[in-house]
Amino acid sequence: MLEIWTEKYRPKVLEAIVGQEAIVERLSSYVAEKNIPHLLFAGPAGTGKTTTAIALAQELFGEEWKQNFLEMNASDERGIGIVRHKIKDFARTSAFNQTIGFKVIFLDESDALTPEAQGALRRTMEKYTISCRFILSCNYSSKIIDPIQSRCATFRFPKIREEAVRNYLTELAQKEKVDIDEEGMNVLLKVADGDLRRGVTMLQVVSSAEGKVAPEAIFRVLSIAEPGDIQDMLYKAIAGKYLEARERLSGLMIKKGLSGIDIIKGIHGEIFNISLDDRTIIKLVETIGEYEFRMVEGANERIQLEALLASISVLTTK
Amino acid sequence: MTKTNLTEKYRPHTFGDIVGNTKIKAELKAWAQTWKRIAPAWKGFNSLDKNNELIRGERGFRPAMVMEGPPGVGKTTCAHALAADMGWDVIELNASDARNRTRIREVVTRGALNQVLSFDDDGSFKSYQDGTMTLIILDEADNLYDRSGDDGDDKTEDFSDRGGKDEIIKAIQLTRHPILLIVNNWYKLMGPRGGALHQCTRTVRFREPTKEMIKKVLGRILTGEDVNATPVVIDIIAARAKGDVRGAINDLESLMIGRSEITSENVTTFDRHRDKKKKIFDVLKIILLEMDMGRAIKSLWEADVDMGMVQEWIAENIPRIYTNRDELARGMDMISKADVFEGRIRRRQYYRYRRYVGQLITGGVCVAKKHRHGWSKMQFPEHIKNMSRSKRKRRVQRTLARKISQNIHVSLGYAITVFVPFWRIMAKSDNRLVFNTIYEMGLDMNESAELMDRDNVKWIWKQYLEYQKKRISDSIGASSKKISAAAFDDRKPISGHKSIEETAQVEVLSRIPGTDGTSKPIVPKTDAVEPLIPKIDDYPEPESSDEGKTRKKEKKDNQISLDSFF
Repeated sequence: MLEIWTEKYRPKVLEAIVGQEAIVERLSSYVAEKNIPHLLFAGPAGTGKTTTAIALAQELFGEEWKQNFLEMNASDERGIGIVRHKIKDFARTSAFNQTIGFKVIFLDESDALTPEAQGALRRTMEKYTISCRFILSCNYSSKIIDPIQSRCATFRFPKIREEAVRNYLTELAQKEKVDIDEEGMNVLLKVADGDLRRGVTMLQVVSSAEGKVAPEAIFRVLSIAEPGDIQDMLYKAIAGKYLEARERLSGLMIKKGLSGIDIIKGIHGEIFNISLDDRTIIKLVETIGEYEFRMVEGANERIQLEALLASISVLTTK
Repeated sequence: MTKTNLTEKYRPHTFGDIVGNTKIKAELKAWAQTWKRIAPAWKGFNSLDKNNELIRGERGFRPAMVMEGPPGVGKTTCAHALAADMGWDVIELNASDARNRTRIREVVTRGALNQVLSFDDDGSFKSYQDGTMTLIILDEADNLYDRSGDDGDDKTEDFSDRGGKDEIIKAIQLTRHPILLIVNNWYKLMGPRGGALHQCTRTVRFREPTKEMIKKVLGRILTGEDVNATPVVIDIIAARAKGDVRGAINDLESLMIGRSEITSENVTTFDRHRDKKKKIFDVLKIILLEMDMGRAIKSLWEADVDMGMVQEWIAENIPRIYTNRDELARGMDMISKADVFEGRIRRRQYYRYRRYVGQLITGGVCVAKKHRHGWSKMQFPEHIKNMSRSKRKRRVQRTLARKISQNIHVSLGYAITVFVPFWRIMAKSDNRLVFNTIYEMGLDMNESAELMDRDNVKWIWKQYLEYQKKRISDSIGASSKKISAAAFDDRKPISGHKSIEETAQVEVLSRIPGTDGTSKPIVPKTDAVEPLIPKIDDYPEPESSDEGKTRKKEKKDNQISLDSFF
């Protein structure tokens, strides 16, 4: 078994899911009836959407769950092709499990699907609804087109309450004999911010690398794992050191394998932390949005980001 | 008045008549003489190493020569003159013949192998006296559209030369006759599987002759044809040719027709420059330094690289020239907008948009500046250089990301940006976890190398393979069931033997220093690694045997782009 704790301790039954009691209760009744509608799970990262989908499949299908469950991540294949081929092929073959009579497709991060792909998905959902049920997960249900939403039972996964995260992590720390004190736990909870996956990952990484999970240790690990390359690039652009900024961009894309969207997300997230006047910040938001649009429309993500860096450089000139 | 083409009429027939390239001529001559000397005992290239007696004193001898150089500098002429000087027959195969495997085998390989037969140009055999040799000339060998085993970027649909390169390599290795390959672009010839070709050939590079040399040739022709021309005329023609002797002669010929005297007035009727593709630097100069939008737009069509590449060059160099932030942003904005059109072209297959792309990246970028700029250093697109350097690494990253994403139910993006950095931190101190991840995710050596230091990888893999061995012997001992051999190769455990395997795993783990959870990890010494460990680069990946070649090829591709621009 994989020693990555997020996997090792991933609940196999709905009962064990942390902090989503209402949802679990509802879904358990589906399991009892051996039937589910199409489902839409919406909520921030680390709140149990994937885990719930997998646990649901395991409860429904038992030993055969893997044959009856297709998991895909729409952010990896966001085009219409994924719907036309992979999904359809799986959907139209009949179910393995005769008592249940349908299969389940779990489409993670479905808000990454293009509107065209969502349109195609809508028809597929309808056509194969007898033999196949869909579970879509997304961060924001608003990014899912209405016709799909209306075909799904929507479940909103709220951020997990801090108490629930604390209890879970404390229990996990005991099981894995992790040395963690009150202070360390408080910082860990802040870093996790309701994201259980992040909390568990941090607990494992810090205890493995540093021994004791103390505040400094957590920050040390964070600074190595998330070294702020994007911020660095952004500040170079603002300082007018365009060539250096571009060099960093190239490094992020090649060495770190970041996608254009990852980077533009990072840039956008950082804008509000820079000390700039409000007007400039809003101008930057507009510009970043424009370039994200061009990136989606265009052919070459890197070219768009290079141009964005040049625009940022101009907008922030005093 | 000329009856035949002047280039043919005045083509030199012996080495002595050829202008310039003294060194090359000497090298070719030496090669030919070696051939002549060793031919009776020559048993093919593959016998070189074993049969040292044969080649004593001929170190580095190669059965084939590659002649590389720009058009019109005299490569073909040289080849024929060499044959004439040596008294050899010639078989010539050029791009106008389809050169697929069969055709090359028909003409070259069989010709190369045969000592007593020769061919007519159509490939049919003719017998001739013993001992004479035949020079096999493959003209325009770089235009071989060779597709076998090549999944590269070349999207050509013409497969008529399929398998041609392999056959040429085979011919060179077996030949009993000297072979000359003539190319404009050496790197294009080498391309995929170039290693083997490189090994059995030597290359001579033809330089463009100087203006003075061309003038000498033109003078000789004028005398021969009994036509007068003023020195100015000769000078203009020679300058315009830019090293292309054949072009110069053709120009002269067009001026000579119907005249017995050429004056400078006749010359004004044609452009000062032969319509040669502009080097990318000239194009960049017009776009980035000057203020003439019309010319900037037009320059695109004169560039010697395609539009995508022009765009990369411009994007690379805008910030080097447009140092003013406003100009920089406006220029990059044009590139960005052009790219949006490019995206729409791809999505809708609507190629008319291409004109907007072209005009924005040239004219648009040109008018983004406020005034002329002075010269400043321009460069080959940095990103492209880095991309091709890291091609292999990125491929490994992709397969690694896929395995991670399947195993921990996350997107590829999360796998690379979040999981890998965290995991690397743990890998430094937790060998047990490393071992477990490799095992459970079924990582290969290259993939695991992305997750930790290279030295560590070797050491971990040594332990890993030991464990594998133990697992196999344990399962044979513990189970009376027959286990198929295939199961042993499978790095994933066979489900039926899970418990045994897990016991074995724990046992091995407990022997690995640093994995008992208490003591600090012992960083392994590299020299402790035994031959049991496969070299990082050739661990299982099926394509990895081609890896070296591919990498070399990439390097060369890179060079070619550089070479042709500088």
